[in-house]
Amino acid sequence: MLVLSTEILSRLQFAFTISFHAIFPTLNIGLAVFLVYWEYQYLKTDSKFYLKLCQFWMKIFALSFGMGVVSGVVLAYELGANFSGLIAYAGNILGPLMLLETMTAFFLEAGFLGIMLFGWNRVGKRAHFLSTCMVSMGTVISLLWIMSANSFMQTPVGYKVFNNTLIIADSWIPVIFNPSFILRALHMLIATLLTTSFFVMGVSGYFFFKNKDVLFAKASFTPALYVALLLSILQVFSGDRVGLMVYKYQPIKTAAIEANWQTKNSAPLILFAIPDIKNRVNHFEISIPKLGSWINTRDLNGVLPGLESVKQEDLPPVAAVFYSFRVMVGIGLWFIFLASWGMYCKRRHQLVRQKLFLYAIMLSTPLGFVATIAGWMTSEMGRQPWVIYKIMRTKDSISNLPAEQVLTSLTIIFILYLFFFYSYLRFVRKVICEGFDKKSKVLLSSIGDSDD
Amino acid sequence: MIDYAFIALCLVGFAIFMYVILDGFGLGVGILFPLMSESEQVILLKTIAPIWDGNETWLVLGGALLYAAFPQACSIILPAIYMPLMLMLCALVGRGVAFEFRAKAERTKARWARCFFLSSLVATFCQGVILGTLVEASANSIDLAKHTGLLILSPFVFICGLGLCFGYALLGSGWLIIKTEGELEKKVRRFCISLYMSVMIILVAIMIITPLKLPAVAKLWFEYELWTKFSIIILYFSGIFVAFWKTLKNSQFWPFFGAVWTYFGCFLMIGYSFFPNLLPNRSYQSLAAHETALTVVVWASLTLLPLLLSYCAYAYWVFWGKVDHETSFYE
Repeated sequence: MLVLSTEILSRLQFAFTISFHAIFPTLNIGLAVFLVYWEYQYLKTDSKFYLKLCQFWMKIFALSFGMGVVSGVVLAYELGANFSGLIAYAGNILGPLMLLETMTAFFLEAGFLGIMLFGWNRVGKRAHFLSTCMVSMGTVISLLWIMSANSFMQTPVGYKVFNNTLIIADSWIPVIFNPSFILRALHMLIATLLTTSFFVMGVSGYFFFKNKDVLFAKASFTPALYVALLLSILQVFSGDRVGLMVYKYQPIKTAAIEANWQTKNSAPLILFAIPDIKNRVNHFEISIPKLGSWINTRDLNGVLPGLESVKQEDLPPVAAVFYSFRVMVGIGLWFIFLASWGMYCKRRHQLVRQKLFLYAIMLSTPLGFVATIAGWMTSEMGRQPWVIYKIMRTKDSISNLPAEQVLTSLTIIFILYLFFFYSYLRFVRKVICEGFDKKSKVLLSSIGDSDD
Repeated sequence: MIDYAFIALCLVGFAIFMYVILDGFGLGVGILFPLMSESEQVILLKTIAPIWDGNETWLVLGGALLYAAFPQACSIILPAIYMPLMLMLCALVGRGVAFEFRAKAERTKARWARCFFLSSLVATFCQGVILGTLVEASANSIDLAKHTGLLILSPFVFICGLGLCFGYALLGSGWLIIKTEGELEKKVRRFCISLYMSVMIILVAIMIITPLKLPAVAKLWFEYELWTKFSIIILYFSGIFVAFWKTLKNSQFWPFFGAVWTYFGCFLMIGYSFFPNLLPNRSYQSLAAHETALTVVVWASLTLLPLLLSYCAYAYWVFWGKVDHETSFYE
């Protein structure tokens, strides 16, 4: 029986708003990097072709960036309003990290975004390119700071307890470069680039499919394909390192990811199961022997920690962690297959004709976002019941608000966000339907891939 | 010995002031939206299109500074103003979204224009309500920690909300006088003149109500060094009058900077009335973060603020000048 307490509602609201928000930076960080590449091509070749290419993707970037900024402001204040306990207890550490993010990243992005979007006729080409680089740099710096703050909450070090009431930084370097920061930041950076490259390929695939603006689509598709192939493979290694790190610092999260109830040697890798949190068993388990131990310890007979030591009320939501992890990994593996398939088609000059591949790539457009959010769910739910791992419990961080108020704000936000997201998708569709080159549509649309 | 907490307090004040001025004129433009024809609305949007993201970032900076430098204050204030805060944030989301979509829509232009206006109005009103609530609570020594989630409704709070709507509209019209020309500029100037009058009426009303309602403030205002205070007030109002007169005389920049001056005065007045208290009966020192956090806040701000101010200024400089129908930012 789910009781709509302030805690549940606050967490639900935060989960909803942050998942909604996450979509936009994930797209923008990757897209900004691609924009730097395309605009560099424009600078080098001085051809209107690349200018139009940039301007098309910038329209989508602009729509998403606006959504990202405003939904991010909500999060910043929600943290204080709904989780005042967290701010009171850890504000001395999390506050400066967020301040540094704002000062080093947000102003860089927002300041140069205007020039990047509207400044084509106002500044020189080089100054414009520099602005695009600055925006791109800002998005990456922002990612680094937010990953540092979040990783501190996962693997806190370098702090000390002050007056028994709050934590302060003992030394900032270990706080910022905490054990999980670099690995997780890298994992997330690759995830954004991967998500964006599949987004770019999906949209370009639509143009191939419609046999419209094919040259533009090809110039967008090709770099995205190379990035996708390289990074989808690299992401396996980066994910593996993150897994080993989690095993070392948060063994209970590892146990939840693997749905492993008893600590055991040579644990199997469970491909599918229905974890039963009440009776602490898995139903309908399909597994590969010994692989679970090998993945987490690099030893077929290694020890995989179980959830047996954890009290019932301290269990993370095992099923949710278990499934979201598998969604993420499943999509990751599908991406490797898809990128290889794409490369095969491209080598045989068949991109435009391979309808099956085009269907697959178009339908996979949103999958990167799904994988990213699923990964975050694994990471955030896997550390429950802690908001700062082993230091502060989530229930102690909740503001003392009447549940009706949180329910009201959650309802308003839910309805508004759904409506705005629907409108956002419609406008993105509109930009895509208008195509790269509104004026000389006839000229380019009839050209196939014969020159490939 | 450097008083880090005091510098941090000034930084928070500076960030909030910058937000009020910069996003204030943006919200003001939104409030003036329904008074414009469809073709004029396009120009209005163009005047703020390249800079509104940057302006909104000051709100994030204000919040981040408050988290970092005064986490205890944050954990008390934010839950206490929960409903108006959340409404304001929702309205800001709506405004940003409506702004982007209004520029790209064809059939649904009117709907997004209405959405842009309404969300600007709600966001502004909520900001005024938040300010009013905090002033009211401070003046009546209400313990905000025990009033979590309770919106203190009073005529004063309502006047603050309303006053801010007029105030932002004044800033917006001042901005538009700088950025537009021809018939539109004349039209905006007429709005600006009447807004100056309404803002002055509201200002005088608040300055009369506040000491009447709040004996503590009255004591502070009227007790000692009366002549110094009196001359400052005279200076302040004569500044507004000069700006008003210059607005009548077709000045380009006086209307906007007169509005900035008006806000600056209000800011100082609020600061003077409640210093050194940040919350009711709680001084800023007692709410400040530990020195480990404060040193980061102060040194990071002092080194990075000049840098980010310079490229914000660069962005304004790039888009300097009048905006008309021919000015096309796209392509």
